[in-house]
Amino acid sequence: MEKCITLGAELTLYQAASLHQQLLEASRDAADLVLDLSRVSEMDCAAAQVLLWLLARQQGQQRTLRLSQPSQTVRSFIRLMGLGALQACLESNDES
Amino acid sequence: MNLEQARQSFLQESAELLEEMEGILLDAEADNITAEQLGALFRAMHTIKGSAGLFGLEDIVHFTHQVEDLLDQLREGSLQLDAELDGLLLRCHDHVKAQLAALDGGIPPSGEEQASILADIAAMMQHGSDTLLYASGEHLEPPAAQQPSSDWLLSLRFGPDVLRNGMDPASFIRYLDTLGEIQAIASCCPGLATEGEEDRFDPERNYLRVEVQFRGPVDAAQLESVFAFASEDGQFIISPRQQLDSHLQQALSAGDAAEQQAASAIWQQWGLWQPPAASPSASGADEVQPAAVTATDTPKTGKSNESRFIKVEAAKLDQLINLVGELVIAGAASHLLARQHGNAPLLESTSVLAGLIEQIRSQTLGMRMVPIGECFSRFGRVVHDVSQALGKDIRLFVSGADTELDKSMVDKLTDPLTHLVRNAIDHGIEDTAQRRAAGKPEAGRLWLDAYHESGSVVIEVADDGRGLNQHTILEKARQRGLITGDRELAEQEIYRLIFEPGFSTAATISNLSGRGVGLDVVKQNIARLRGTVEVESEAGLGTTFRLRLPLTLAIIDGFLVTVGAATFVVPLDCIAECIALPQGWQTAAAAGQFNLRGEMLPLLCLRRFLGLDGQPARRQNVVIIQTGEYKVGLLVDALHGEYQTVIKPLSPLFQHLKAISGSTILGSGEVALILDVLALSEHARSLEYAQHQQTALGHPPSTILSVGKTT
Repeated sequence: MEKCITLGAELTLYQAASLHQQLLEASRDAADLVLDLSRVSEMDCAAAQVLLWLLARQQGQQRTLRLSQPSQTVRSFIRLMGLGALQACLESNDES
Repeated sequence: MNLEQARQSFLQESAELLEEMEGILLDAEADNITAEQLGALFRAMHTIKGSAGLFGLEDIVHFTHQVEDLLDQLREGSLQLDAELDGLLLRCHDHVKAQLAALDGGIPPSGEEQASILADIAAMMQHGSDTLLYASGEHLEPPAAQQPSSDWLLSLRFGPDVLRNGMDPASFIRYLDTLGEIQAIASCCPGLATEGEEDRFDPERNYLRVEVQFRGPVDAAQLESVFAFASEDGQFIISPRQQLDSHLQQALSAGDAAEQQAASAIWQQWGLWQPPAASPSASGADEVQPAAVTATDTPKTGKSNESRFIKVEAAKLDQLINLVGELVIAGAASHLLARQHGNAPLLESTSVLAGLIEQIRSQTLGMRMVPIGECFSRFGRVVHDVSQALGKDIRLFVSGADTELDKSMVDKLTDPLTHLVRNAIDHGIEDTAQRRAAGKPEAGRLWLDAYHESGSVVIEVADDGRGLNQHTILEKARQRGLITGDRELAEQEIYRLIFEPGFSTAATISNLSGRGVGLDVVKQNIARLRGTVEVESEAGLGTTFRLRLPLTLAIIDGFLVTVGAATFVVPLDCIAECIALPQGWQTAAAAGQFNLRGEMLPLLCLRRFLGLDGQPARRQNVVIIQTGEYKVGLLVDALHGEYQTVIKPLSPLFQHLKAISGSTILGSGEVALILDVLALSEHARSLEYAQHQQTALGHPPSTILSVGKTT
């Protein structure tokens, strides 16, 4: 079973708490998660660590996390911060 | 520290840097600039650029970057600091200042000005690289030669609150990226990995730790300054590549086991670290300690430098001063009670208390005192700008910059002083040709001086210009109908005319002064601070404006005197001496004059002056007050000694009363009025002068007396 969630344009500290809540609930009732990041136009470290947290949680439950269609913002942010763990979750067919 | 506070401290810091920059630029004109000063200029722009980058202020980053480049060339010696470049840098300074002011709700600077400055910078740098080419020929070195690129290892342990404080670690990395090349970067979130504890994840807490390999033309201090904003609870381990081993020892032993493991994995992946054969964490920890201490020490000492000053809201300080005022009164009251009861131990304890209160009082007041140099320093710029606008060559000499006075007064002094300085440059100092003709040095000189004198602060603005022309002043005054007839006026009286509203002797109106708006405003402003203005002038030699101001507006050391039943406070600082009125002097007193050891002084009978009822006491006393050079005797009934006085302002109803400057409450609960010594002595002098006129010319006192009465 796989669940796809589309995230909003802004992924920053201000959304971090609600994002955390949203993903926590999602991870409770779905096995594998796919996050659609195509709409993300702003991202910061707070959001990045929520994703890292989700990844750690999913892995802890032997489930997967995929980041689908990451926008340019997401890609460059991951590259800037050297977020290798997230880089590995990016969908391979989106790699450029 | 939230975002707004961080922003405020950024603005504050930038303002200080700009001030320093301006000071250096103005200094440099007269002198050869030192490498140290160049470094400071560069640092100012660099730090502003860096901090602005953290706040995402692209405009400022862009502009300061260009200025930084220009300064870099200057630092390398491919450009020389001449008047043109100095002017350009001052314009840059103004522009950045305007940009910062715009953040604080000011008007944003025009794009045209920015474009014009940038064009000038580009032209200047082009010019610079050309001259360098010609001048040094084959000795030409690449610009980065002084600061060669070097490799650095960074382990950035951002504090847990960095996100809540409105700082995004990514901003630091972005800025780091502008300084050089990030060769490898990896982040880990060690705190997250614990299984089944998802509820303990706090999305607003920072878990990120970043490892970086960096290459760029920077030094350790520059790198440390990148993270200065986050240094509060973070730990940033920065080492040159050569010190790989010690860096890893420090970096990999920091934090808990999970963090050590995550960080080790990164360095291992980069091939820079091999897990030791046995007991990895235990062996490292002991040796590491001293090195780790030195690394974390640097940000700490930086911080202690910052906190040498604490910014306090002015209103809070005022409240404190008010409370201390009440404390002084209450302390005096209890001391009085103790004395009435004659209880020795109680008396002793109240006098200890009084000593402490006195210390608190002076310390509290000291907090409000700032050196006037802060206010003087801006005149370097004023003189520079005004003299350039007028094409005059003028040197400014500042002394007594560490003279302290009340902060609120310093603020209010800036405008009047600016007026006086501009006046001196525009009217006082002649242009170069005239000076040469008069046999004076071509460069005009302007002095700003401050010093303490008998309880007041004296500020002098002096020039070595042409001096005031009494003849012209009189003529103008007649034209404007300020004086009538051919009556002879004393020198001081003539000078006083220039403070009349709308009075100007300048033949031509420049856009700086000469419109006749100014000196009257200066006088009003100073009078509002309970100060006076004196003028001294020598034709052809120069003019001195002397402002005399009280030290503070809050508390004074007073001297209690009584006239009949009424108690008055005379500020202790201006009392020269007290004498008992000798028998047989009553007649002299009535005449308003007395002889003090051969010196004739005006004598003001306080009872008569204030219109108090009652008969004079059998024995009367004279308090001799001194303001500047003038001494005046005040005739009172009794002397009661020193008393610390908290000045309570008079209600608006009484504020026009010139002889009373305030009121205070005595320990007994009675109200005492504080005498305004300056106004009293001025009045006494004008009375004396009127009497002198009357006896000398033999006609009844004219307008002067009535003028004197209203002062």
